Formats: sequence, C-alpha cells, structure tokens
Amino acid sequence: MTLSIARIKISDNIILPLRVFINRKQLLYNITNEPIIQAPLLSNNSIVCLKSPNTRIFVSNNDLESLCDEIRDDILLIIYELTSQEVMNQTIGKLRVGYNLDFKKSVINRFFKDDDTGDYYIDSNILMVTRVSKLKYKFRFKKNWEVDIFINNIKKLSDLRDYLLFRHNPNQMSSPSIPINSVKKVLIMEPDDYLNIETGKDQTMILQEDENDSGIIDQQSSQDDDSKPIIHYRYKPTLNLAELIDIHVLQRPRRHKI
Amino acid sequence: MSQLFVQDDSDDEGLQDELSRQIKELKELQEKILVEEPKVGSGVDVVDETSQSEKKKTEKVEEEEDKVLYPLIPNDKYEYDDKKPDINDIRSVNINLSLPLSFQQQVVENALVSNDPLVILGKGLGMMSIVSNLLHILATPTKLDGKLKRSLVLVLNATQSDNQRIGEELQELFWLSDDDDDNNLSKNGNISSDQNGNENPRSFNVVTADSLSVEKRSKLYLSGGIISVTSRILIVDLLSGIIHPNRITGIVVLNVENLRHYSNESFIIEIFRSKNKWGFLKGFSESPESFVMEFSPLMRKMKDLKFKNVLLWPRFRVEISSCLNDILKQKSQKVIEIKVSLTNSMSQIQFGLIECLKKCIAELIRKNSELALDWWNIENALDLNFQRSIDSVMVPNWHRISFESKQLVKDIRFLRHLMKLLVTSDSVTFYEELQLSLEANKPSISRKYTESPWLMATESQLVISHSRKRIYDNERYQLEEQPKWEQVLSILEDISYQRNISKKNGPTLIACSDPATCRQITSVLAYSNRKDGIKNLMNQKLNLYRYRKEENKRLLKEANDKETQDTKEIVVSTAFVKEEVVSKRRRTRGAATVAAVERLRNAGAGEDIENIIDDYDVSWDEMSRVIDEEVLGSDEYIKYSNEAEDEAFESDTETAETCFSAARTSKEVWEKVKNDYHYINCNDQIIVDCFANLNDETALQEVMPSHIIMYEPDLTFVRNLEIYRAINHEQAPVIYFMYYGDSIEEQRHLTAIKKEKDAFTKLIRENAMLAQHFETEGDLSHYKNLADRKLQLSRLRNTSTRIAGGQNLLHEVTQDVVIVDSREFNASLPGLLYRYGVCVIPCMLTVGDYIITPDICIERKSVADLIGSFLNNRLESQCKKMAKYYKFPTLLIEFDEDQSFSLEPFAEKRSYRRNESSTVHQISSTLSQFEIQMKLSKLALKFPNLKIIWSSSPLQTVNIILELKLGRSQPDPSVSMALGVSKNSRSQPTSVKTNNETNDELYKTLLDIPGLSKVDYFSIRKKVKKFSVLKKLSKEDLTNLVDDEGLAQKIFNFLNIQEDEI
Repeated sequence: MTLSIARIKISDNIILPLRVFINRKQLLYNITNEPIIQAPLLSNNSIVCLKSPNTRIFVSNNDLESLCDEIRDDILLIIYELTSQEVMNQTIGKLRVGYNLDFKKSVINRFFKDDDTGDYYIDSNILMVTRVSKLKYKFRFKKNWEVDIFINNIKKLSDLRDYLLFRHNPNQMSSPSIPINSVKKVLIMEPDDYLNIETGKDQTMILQEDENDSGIIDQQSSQDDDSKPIIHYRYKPTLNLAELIDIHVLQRPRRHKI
Repeated sequence: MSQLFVQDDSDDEGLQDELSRQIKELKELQEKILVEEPKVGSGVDVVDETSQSEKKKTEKVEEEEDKVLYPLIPNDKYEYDDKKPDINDIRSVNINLSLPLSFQQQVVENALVSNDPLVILGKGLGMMSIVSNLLHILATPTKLDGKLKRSLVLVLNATQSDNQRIGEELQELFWLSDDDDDNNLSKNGNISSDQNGNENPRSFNVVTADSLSVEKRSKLYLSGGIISVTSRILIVDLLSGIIHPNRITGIVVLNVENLRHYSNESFIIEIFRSKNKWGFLKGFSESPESFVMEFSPLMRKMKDLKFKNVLLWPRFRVEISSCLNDILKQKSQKVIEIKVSLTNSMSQIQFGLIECLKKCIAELIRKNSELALDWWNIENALDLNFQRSIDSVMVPNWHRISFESKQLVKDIRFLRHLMKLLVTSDSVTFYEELQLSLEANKPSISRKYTESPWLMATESQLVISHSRKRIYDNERYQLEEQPKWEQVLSILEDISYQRNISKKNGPTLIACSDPATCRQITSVLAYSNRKDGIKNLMNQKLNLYRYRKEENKRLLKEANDKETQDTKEIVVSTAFVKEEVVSKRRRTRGAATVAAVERLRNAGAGEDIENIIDDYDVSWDEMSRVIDEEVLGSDEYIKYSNEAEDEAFESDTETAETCFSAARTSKEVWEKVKNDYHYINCNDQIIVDCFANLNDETALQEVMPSHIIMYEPDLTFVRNLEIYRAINHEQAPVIYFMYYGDSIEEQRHLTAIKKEKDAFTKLIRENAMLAQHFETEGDLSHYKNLADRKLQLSRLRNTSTRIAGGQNLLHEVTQDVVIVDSREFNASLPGLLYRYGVCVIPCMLTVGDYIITPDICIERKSVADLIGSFLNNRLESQCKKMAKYYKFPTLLIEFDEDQSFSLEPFAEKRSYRRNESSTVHQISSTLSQFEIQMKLSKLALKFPNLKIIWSSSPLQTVNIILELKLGRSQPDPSVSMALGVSKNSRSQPTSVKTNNETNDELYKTLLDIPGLSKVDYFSIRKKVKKFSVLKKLSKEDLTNLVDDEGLAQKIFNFLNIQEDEI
C-alpha cells in the first residue's frame, strides 16, 4: 500500500493530515516477470495468472514537502472558503452528482477576485471539480504536480471550518465540536529555545526552514567540534484533525528541469 | 524470558511434522486440480452441468412448486440463458498482486485453489491485505459469448474499518491491474461506466442499513462487483427475491470467530448453498483461540458455515517463519528491549492484588463448586477471556447464586481492573480508583453487607497502604511517577541524537494499549521540557482529584440536605445534639484527648491522608493551570469556564456570527492564514497511537516510522512490526520494546503467546482428526430444512407412479408462512424459523413483528428491549395498534439461551445486554424487578385480550410458533402490510377478512355508548361472537349479558337506532 500521510500545520497547534496515494498504474504498466501461479477459478471460466510486482513507491519527505507547499493555497481554499454559505449555495452545493464544473471560471472568478484591482489574491491551480457522490468531491489540480484532491465528506469539512473560525471563542458551549481524529496524538519535536539559550548556545537558527532534511545536524557540526552539542527538545502537543482530504498523485514534477 | 519480542519457531517437532503433512496433502489435492486443467476448465463444466441439471430439475417440478403458496426462495425472475460453454471463451487473465511478502502470496494461492476453505491466520499477519488481494482475484469477470460478465462477490461480517481497508486496497489493485480487461469491458459496452466515472470491473461497494433503497440495491447486485453487505439486509434481499443465490459468484466471510450459533451468516450460507452449488465460499479468521474453547468447535463452525477445508497459518509455520526470520539474520537489526523494574510500592501492590485475586477465585469456586470450572485459577486470571468465562457460567445462573458470589464476581472484575491500572496509569489515578471503592464500601446503616469480600483479605491492606504511600509518605508528598516515563524520555533523547548522526527518515511512533495511555504519554512529553515538569503534572492530577472529591462531597451534601430538610423540625434537646465545639481559645481543655480519639477513629479507615490532601497547598493550582492552557490546546483537560466570562463573550460571538455569514475573506486575512500554513517535517513528528489503530501493517506503512517505541507489549503489534520490518528491510526501523520486568504486564504477554500457540496446536490436531465429509446431491438428509425435505420427498414419491395411495400425501405439503418485519432480522428467530421449514416473508410491517396467522400478531421483545420500551411507552402504543387490527395481539418475551430465565439479573444495575439490541440506552435498563412486573400487569389490565408468551430461548419460540400455526390458515402479506399504514390509505379489507373486519368494526361502535366500560365490552364480545347475533338479542338477554339493566337498555337502544340507520 502506498498511502502515506503528510501532516500540515494550519494554525498554531492544529494539524491537518492529508492522505497521499500514488496512482502507480502507469508506472507499473510493463511488468514482465513470470506469473507465480496459474489456477482456474472454479466459479468462473478464467484461468488466473498471479503476478506479484515487488516494487513499492513512496513519496519522500522532500517530495511531500514540495507537494504540500504547492497545493497550499488550494488546501486553504478548501478548508476555509469552500464550505462557506455563499460558495456552497451558489456553486458547489448545486453541482449534480457525476458532473463537472470549471473551478476557475465559476468559483475563483466569482468569489475570490479583488473587486478593486481585479486580480486574484488566491493562487489556485484547481482546474475542475467533480461531485463524485453526495458528500464526496474530486478536485483536479495541475501545476508542477498533478494530483486529484478528494474531499471525503463535505459535511465534516464544513464542521472543520466552523471549528477553525470559532476556535478562539472561549465559550465552549456555543462553539462547534472539534472534528478531531480518534485517539491518534501527534507531538512536534522542536528544539527548546529557552533551555538551549540557558545552556549558553544560541540555537534560534535551527528554527529556520532548511531545504536539507537534516538541517539541524549540519548547523551543529559547523559549530565548534570540541564540545558535544546539547540540544534540548520540547515536544509540543497539537490537535490532530480528522483525515478528511485524500490526495491521489498522478504526476510528479520532473527532477531535472530542461 | 529474554526474548519477549520475537516468537520463535515451535519447538514441538511432531507438531511441525503434522502441519507439513497436512500441507502436503492439500498440495497434492491442488495438483490434481491443476493437472485436470488441460482438460479444459473443469470448473466451467461443473458450473454448467450443475446449473443445467438444476434448471431441468426446476423445470420438472415447476408445476408442483407453483402449488406451494410461496416458494422458500423466490424464483429467479431474470431469465438466465443457459449457454453451452464455449471453449474459446476460456482465457487467461493476468493479475498483479500487491503483496510484498512471499508467505502472504502463498496464503492467497492456498485459499484460492482449495475448496471452500476456512483460513485461520496467526494474529497480525496482514489478513486484510490478503483478503483484498483474494477478492480482487475472485472478482475476475467471466467471458460469455465473447463478452465479459462481471461477477458478484459478497463480503459478509466486515467491520467498518475492514470495509475501508478493503476499499483502499482494491483501489490500489485496480490501479495495478492490466488495462486490457477494462478496455474489453467498455468496448463491448456490456457494462456502462457507472456514475463514479470509474470502469473498475471489480468495483467495491458497501451496503449498510440505511445507505441504499431497494431499487438501488437490486441495481447494484445486477451490476456486480465486490459488495460488502450487512447480513441483515442480505437476508431480506435473499428472501424477498431482490437477489437470487444463483447470481452470486461467491461469498467471503470475515471474522468468522465472531459468528454465533444460528447467526444470520450461517442462515445466508444455507440459502446460498441450497440453490447455488458452484459458487465459492471462503472464511477468514485471525483468532485461533476462539476455535478451541468449546467441544470440537472447529468442526461445529465448519458444519454450521459449510466450510470444507481448514487452512492453518500459525506464525511458526515454516513459510512464515523463514520469511520473517531470514531478514533478521541478514541485518543486524536488533530489537532493543527495555526492561523497567517496578518501584517497591508497585511490586508490593501487585503482590497484594494477586493474593487477593487468588483468594477471591478460591472463594468463588468454594461457594459455587457445582458451577466452577477447573480453568478458573490464578494462572488464567490474566487472560483476556477470563472474565468472559466467568460471566458465561454465572450469568445464566444469576438468579440462583448467592449475594456473596455476585460480590465476588464483581470483585474479581475490579481487581483485574486495578491490576491493569497499576501498570498503565499513574499513582494518583490508581489511588483515586481505589479510594472510590473504599468509599463505596464504608459501612452504613442501610446496607447489610458492608464490605467487598476482597477487602477482608489481609493483603488488601497492603494494597491500600502502599497506594497511599505512593502519594504521601514520611510527611512529604511523594507523588510517585511511573518508572516508564523517565525511560521514554531518555529513549526520545537517544532517538534525537541518532537522528543527528544517521540518515533516518521518518517520524517517531509511540504505541500503547489504550487512548488513556495515549493521553498520559502526550502530557508527560509535553511537560517534560520544563523544570519539574512531570512533578507539576502529578500535582495537577492531584488537584483534579481534589476538585472531583469536593464536587462529590458537595453533591452528597446537597442530597442529604434535601432529605433532611423535612425532618429538621424535630426538636431535640441540645444535650443530644452533637455539635462541633467552637471555641475561641486556641487550646481547649482536653482537646488533646479529643484529637487522639479522632485519630484513633480515623486510623482504621485511613482518613488522615485524605485530610492531608485536602489541606494541600493550593499555590500549585495556579501555576499548573497556566501551563495547562499554554501547552495543551483544548481537548485534554476540562476547562471550568465561569459564567461571568461566558456573558462577556456573548457579544463577541454575535459579531463573529455576522462576520461568518458575510464569509468572504479579505486579502489580509488570507495572508495571515497562509502564514500559518506549514508542512511538518516528518522527522519532527512524534506520533502517539494505540495498538487498536495500528493493528494492520498498512497503518504502519502509512506512518513509515523510523523509530518505534512499544510502550507496552502486545502480540499483534509485535507481528505487525515483524512484517513491517520484513517489507522495509532496507530501511528497517529501530524498535524499542518496553515492559515492566517481573510484572503482570510481562506475564500477560507471555500468556498471550502461549495461548495462541496452544490454540494452533489444538487446531492442527483437531484438523488431523477431522473426518472427511462427502455428500451426494440427492441425499435427502442433506436438506436440513424440514420443509425442503418434505418437498423433495413428495417429488420422489411423485416420480414413482406405482404408489397410488400417495395422492393424499401430496396434498398435505402446504407451506407454512410467517410474515416477519424486515427490521426483525437482527434476531436469530427468523433464521431458525426458516430452518424449521417455515417460509419467512420479509415485509415492512407497521403493526407487530411477526404475523403467523391472519389473526395472530406477535410483538417480540428481548428483556432489555422490553424494559426500554416500557420506559418510553412505545410498547403501549404497539399493543394498541395490534389490538386494533388483530384478533389475538400477542407479546412475546424472549430470553437468550445464555441468559437466566428470570427478570432478576436485568433488574440489577449492570447490564448483560448484547450490544446488538441497541434501541435501549444503557441507563434505562435499571428498572427493578418489581417495577417490570408492575408495568407488565398494568399492560395486561389495559389490554385484556393481549396474550403474553414467555420463551426461554429462540428455539423454544420456534416450537411455540409452530404449535400455534397448526391447523390455522396462512397470513397474507399484502393485507398485513397495508394494516396500520395510515388511516386514510388503509386498503379495503379483502374478501376473506370482510366478515371478521366488519364484525370487528361494528363491535367497536359499541364503545361509543356512554357508560360502557371496556370490561363490559370484552365480556360481551366474549359471550357473543357475531355482531349480527347481538343485534337480534332481546333486552332481557342483554341484561343477562351485562348484569346491568340501565346499560342493557342503552345498548338495546343503540343497536336499534343503528339498525334504523342501516
């Protein structure tokens, strides 16, 4: 199974998991290895030849990051704007099951155009939206990556939106219930500035995003090698939201740009 | 002992030999099938021969079956053309699997080629992906006349998560599948692409209670694919002819171990097999233990569900162990075991608990020597099924065992709970739980039995004193931390160090047993970076405990106040009133003595520590709350928002609301939202999850952890890890395995391993002994269904023309019919009725559950249901309806086979309900026995003609129903369905019922007479059956009838007026 989960932070301590699938049909089109077994199906008139491709494909951490960065605007659009009354009533909600809609024309142009300047402040790359079933929608996204974004349950998404908007309202009774995911807890490990400063080292640099995965090490090693670096970590608990959005990867950007 | 993690091969050579012998036999069998293959798809011929012979047979007896009012299974209404198989249609299909490990492929192959197998796998060997792959293969379309035809594969007894997993896996397999299949399909135009826009010939659909209407379901069945369906719905569909068994390619049953005797699934398989001889049947189970509990359960289950072979895949089977252990040898990837020792107090408590448990069990056995099992001893007390085993024996006898025994059962449960709590939760929670029980057991006047029996044991003092010691000792707060916490933190530190020196990509995963532990670990980690963080955490816990205690006290006081308010007026002489001595002097004379006495009094019950906790410094409170809010967003801890705050924010909410409806973001807001958005590097993630969510190797794949901490031992998860490691051997994760040494936890894990192994051993032995079973089709004993057997018998007689006197016999074959509400199919009664030869017709009934004759209507209630419907008054309206439309409204109170046939246990607080009977809320099942009886008699008074049937089990009910049906006419489904739908749309009574109906209605008009009570009404009806007769009665006769001259006059007048009108 090639499902992997990308977690993105959408607010201070709130995490939204995205489930990323890879459609590897194309990639495995030419499998030539011998069938491992042949057997007639008793209830059928076919003889099945089973093959087992041992290839497994994952999306690497870097790729996930670049993917998530690329679809940022669209994900935010989906979370915050899509289920607003206006959009729902006028376009998305009206779409009939099994039909498509030109997303740019009917949603972006209508709702997210700056009235004064006439330009879009949302950088959306969704081409088309399809209503798959009553609550399920499919968005075709194409930029460098080409992916299908699935919303599994639009109702839950709207709950999520309500929650995010009213989250800071301390009146617990009136704010909507949190659409959190079962029991899975996620903590983020981050260097503890406070303690690190205390130990005499300024580690604030580490907080900066680095293209390199092991950014922390590099910076560490660049510092004086005599003393063993002491890094204190803090584990920051977060609110892990429900898994509402599936992403099916159809095309990865080319590695070397021509 | 040192190797807790990897369970090695079985050391029993004989067992291995036996297993491999069985495997060899199977293989030979398979080869035979494969050899026959060149003769051209033996399977195909079989298919058509059987279906043809079936066809002929059905044709031959068509007329006879027409005589029968309703056939047991409605005939297939879709004509299926029986074509000769074309040799050219046989084709080979290439199928790509998605199984990474060789043994998983072997399981699939094995299950594929063997005939109706029941596959029993060891825990955590990736059953779901095996099943999905198998489904994918089995759903291969058939080629008929050059066209592809989808097959219909049904999945039964799948849980929701199973469905999700299967769905995802099948989607993946669809992506993997070769194109030619699908192209062919769409080219031929045989199957139009469905609305989803995917043309997957093996589309996966889930049918549950409310998802699809009848038409949609029938369309779905016709379009084929893989369908996971709830058995209740499938039964209704099978019985009402929405789907014919002959159209089903095959059935896959999951979680076989959960199926009870007479389950709906076995009912379905029975119907399926009775009409369909060619389809396949596959069963899967992951829990070998449940196949060894009763007397030869394997054979019984196989017979029940009509499986023919057993395939056993224990972890120690050579294929599996070689696959999983080889990797171990290649790489020096070792599991790091961390044995944490218990603190002194913990081990003392543990010792105490075990001793108490021992005594309780011994006492229970002594008190109920005729019921007790040998199995009940301290060795098995750690077993998961221990409580269930005790319950299964005790509950049916609940009304016979003494109060002490009940207490003991309760105590054993509590002690086991404490044992678990000892290792999983922290010292404060443990203390709280214990204290709660002590509090409840304080002697009081109202209670006869003061203490739980376990508190009588001397060791209980050990438990109590040490659990106090963990909180407060030597005049200081100890607030003992769990030893594992420190270890987890240092492991995490280790991991972060490792990440720096090696290139390991992936999050850290901490796996533990339950959500509570998840929360605990999360908060421990969250507090860890602060100075004295964990100590603060414990303090906070203590505060929370105090808060709860005060709350309880307040509640108690309120309740007491209310009670005593009335009695307060009684004036007692001040001399007798015990009052607290209030004195301004700091030292009162004799105060020391008073205090000493106080202390003495409290010493036994141990009140002192409670007081200390009460006096505890509050300053922590503030501090910890600040941390709490800062660190933990919202869901973890209860916030006590005070009312003033609420009001203040109300206006805020309103403004927010207005903003909300305007709902278009401005650019600035958008920018802010954008800034909040970050991708979280997976190396920085620490995921805490419980085993239940990770019990599938795909769940681990999802997370792709590079470091895994097993906080507690768990057999299934160990296996999952092994598989995950085998798949990802290039990037093997580092595994830390934590457990408390010499503890219950360790012991429990070892027991679990041993039990699974023992179970497989037993199964292998039983399988070796299993007699081979063959059946010819013509064998009459094969028809378990009595009616079917009768039918067959009459057919046979018919063919032998010599029996001239057989004519009479033939006519006797009439079919018994019972109309059943389609919502009633959760119960086992309909299935049993079917087996006893009654034709069960599912209908949506508005009145009653079962209609067995035109006059008798039955409302079935299990006891829990009964109590529930008493509480919400549903029963009364149901009875009213029944009484309105039927002559004999009947209430059937049905007990379960393993319940005691008495209302007593239900009256007690604990509920023994099965989860399936869902309509009742947990709390509602607390009517006392007396109340139930009272309500029942009230009901009986209100509806004098309501019959009540008590039945101890569904089987007995069947007997009662059959007896009731004897010699009575059959009900008409169309009539019963129309009844009570709504007053206007009610159809006109049919000719058969006209007399009865009008009679009834005319009689009802009698009730309009003022002064005529219901009792009078019923006594009249009882004595005079026909309304027309009543009309002809003279005034004197009427007086005799009702014993009241005035009333008789009224009735007489009424009847005469009515006659004039007519």
